[in-house]
Amino acid sequence: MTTRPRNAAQTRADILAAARRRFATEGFERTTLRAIAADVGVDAALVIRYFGSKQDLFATATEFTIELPDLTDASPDDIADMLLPRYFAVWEEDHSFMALLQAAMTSRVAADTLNETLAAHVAPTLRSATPDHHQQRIALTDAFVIGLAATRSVLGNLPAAELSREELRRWAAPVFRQLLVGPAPS
Amino acid sequence: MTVTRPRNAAQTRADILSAARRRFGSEGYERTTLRAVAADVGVDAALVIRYFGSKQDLFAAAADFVIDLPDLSSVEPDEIAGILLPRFFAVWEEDETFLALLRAAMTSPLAADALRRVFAEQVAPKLITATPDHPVQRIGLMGAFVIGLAITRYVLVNPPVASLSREELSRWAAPVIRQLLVGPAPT
Repeated sequence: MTTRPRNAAQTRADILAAARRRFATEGFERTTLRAIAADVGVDAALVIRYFGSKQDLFATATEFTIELPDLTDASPDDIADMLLPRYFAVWEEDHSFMALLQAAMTSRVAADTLNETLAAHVAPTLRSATPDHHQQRIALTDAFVIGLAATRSVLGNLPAAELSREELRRWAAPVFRQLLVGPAPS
Repeated sequence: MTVTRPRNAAQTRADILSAARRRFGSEGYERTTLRAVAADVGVDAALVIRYFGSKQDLFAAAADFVIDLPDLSSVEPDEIAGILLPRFFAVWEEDETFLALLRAAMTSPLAADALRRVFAEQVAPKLITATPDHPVQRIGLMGAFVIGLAITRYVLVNPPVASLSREELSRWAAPVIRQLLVGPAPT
């Protein structure tokens, strides 16, 4: 533990970064506010003052925004190109999302948070593109997206991780197209 | 909890393996201890070591599974998904081995490496027999899709995915598998 001058914004940012590391590697249940506070060199009371309960801190640390474009009038051939850059930004650059995905593997609270985020922020956009069978199309698209994120950003050692973004985009595009707007399987 | 009961060695080994899968699956590789696994079964940690060796050895034994995929080289494109999907469901649902490995792999490099080996040794060589070209791209995306289905359905229990029947999930997954393995290469 070190004592150093801090400003509140930097301390908040440090706490959030430490919280993401802890939640990602230890899961929600086993992470303690005390451990996070110790990582940053502050008192647990300060963490509570800034963020509230462990659950509140978890919610803040793993809150990610995914801004998907409106797909209502998108041409089927363009949908993958409209979505993939946004997905890449979340999977490969957003530490909140990766922490949440890892925590969700061993924690019900974290899994529910991820499920709710998908339902609230991703499903409505995908729904605007789907002509029918919304649930099936959205479900399989979510599965594909989570699988790409897990293999590329977390596991990092399966063949999908070796593909360039461009190559991944080329090969993922027909899958997005089929799942979202392709003919319903008979 | 220590319970003393008569045991035979085979049953004890099986109990240790299933306790190990629960622990590795819920706590990850690093945090699981042989002592905790032993306590779950009501035996001494020394017995676990005698049966399985180190924690790493126990993990290898607990995460060891066989996924039996057929050679796909002479299978009709329309039939590939119908052959693969029941095997995948069997691995996902038969016992906890695969899901324990998958959960552990997301938080432990050692477990991630075990998952990679399963994929490289048992899955990729069979999938490759179906692909006409671009094996790395096709197998890579296929692996991501299968892992994504397993994570969303069994680990996250994501409502849209988890509430689909096996049959419906298979119907919607089939054209994706077909496209990825044997469909036209994208331009």
